[in-house]
Amino acid sequence: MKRKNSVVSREIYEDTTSILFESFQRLQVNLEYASIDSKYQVISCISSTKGEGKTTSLLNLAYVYSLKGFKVLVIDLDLRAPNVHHFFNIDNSNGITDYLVGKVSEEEIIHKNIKENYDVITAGNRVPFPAKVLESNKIIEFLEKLKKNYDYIFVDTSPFLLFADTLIISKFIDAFIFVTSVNVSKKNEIKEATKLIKSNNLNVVGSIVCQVPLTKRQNKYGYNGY
Amino acid sequence: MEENKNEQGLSLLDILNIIKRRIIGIIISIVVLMLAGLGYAILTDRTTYHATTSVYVIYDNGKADTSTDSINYGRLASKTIAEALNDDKMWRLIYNKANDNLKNNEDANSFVVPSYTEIGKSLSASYDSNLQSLRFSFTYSSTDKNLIIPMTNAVIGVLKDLTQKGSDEYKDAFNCFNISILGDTIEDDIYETSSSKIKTTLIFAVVGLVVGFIYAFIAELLSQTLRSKEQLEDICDIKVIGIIPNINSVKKMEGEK
Repeated sequence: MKRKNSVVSREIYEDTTSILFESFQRLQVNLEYASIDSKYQVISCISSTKGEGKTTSLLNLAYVYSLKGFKVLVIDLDLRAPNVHHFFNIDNSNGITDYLVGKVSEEEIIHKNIKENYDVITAGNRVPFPAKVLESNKIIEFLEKLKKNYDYIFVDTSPFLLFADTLIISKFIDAFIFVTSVNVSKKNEIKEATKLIKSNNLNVVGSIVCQVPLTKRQNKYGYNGY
Repeated sequence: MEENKNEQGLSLLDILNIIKRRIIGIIISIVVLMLAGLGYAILTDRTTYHATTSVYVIYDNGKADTSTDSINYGRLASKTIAEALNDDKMWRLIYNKANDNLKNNEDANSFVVPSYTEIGKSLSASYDSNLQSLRFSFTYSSTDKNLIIPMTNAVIGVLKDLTQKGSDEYKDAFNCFNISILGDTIEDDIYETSSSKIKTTLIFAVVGLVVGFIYAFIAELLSQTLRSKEQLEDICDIKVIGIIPNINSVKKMEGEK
């Protein structure tokens, strides 16, 4: 069955009084609790298929971290359908693929201070074999270097069930968040993804449910009401 | 099992959400069945013709006044005749006589006289105390327009004969009162009714609504789409650490404030 491209709006919820911002703030707090024992510096959101809110969730979570004073970097490693640059209306001509193939320097691919404490590396030009690029040692070395400059690195990736990219990059991801979306995600795909997560021993620290309709009670006692 | 438990506990909100999600299917079901109903109504539409013939008779108790006795006499006559008209033997009598009448009517030779019960159910008698009169009436309905007038005439002819000549079988009813025919009317206006297309269409629309609901609930039962956080918790053992509300409901809510 054909699925809508995305039901999640492509935006960063900057209004700190909005319910959506508050939801990501709570997610950030829960993630902090989840990482009490071991600090997760490189975080990625995964979803079974496209259009479940993976990128929106990742970018908004990163935004909450940046507002808390952490130095944050977002890297678009969804080389199949790069999306991050659309959120910020930034140029995607020089991105991580261009750096990895040696076309540009690392300085040229980092879009600094897109927002305060918030840097972005876009995916860059399309490459014929994304998996090959992601498997390279250069990316690991680059990431190790970046980890010294940033408190948190958020990595966007391709849908989990469609491509092996997530499994390839899992070697340098500290924590994954599994993103699902009400009225979009399929139960059988979630079950399949869960099996795959287990069999590949991915460190999934929790899941997010997007597009949850607000109940009347939540409407009545919404955070803006206080 | 857990999943079933959740599905069994459907709240009104869940039901409304199911209807909201499947509204297009429900509407299609209603529209398709409405059209089917309309088609059925058009194809099976048969006009029914109706005609009523009445005989007015006046009884005579020899007093010709409106005293209580006179009124009671009239009521008694009315009751006795009405009872006679309710008797299936009377129906058979009228049926036989009407049949004979029709047989003698060349124009009506090809007609099939309706059953005696059909005749009987169409007979009535009413009493008017002011006019000290009785009214026998016979309303006949048929899809065959040509049958209406001969049929009503035949039956009312029998009633007139009974009134005037009396009847051996119904001495009490027709022989004990001095009844004379005041006049009779054969209502020329044959009115017609059609099976209501609107009614049939509406009945089919209701059936469509029911079918639509059944479709919605079956489709929802078989649906693989994630509907709630609880469903996710049931099928996946990863702890839910974040719930992001639907942007439209948030915008709606924030717009209201």
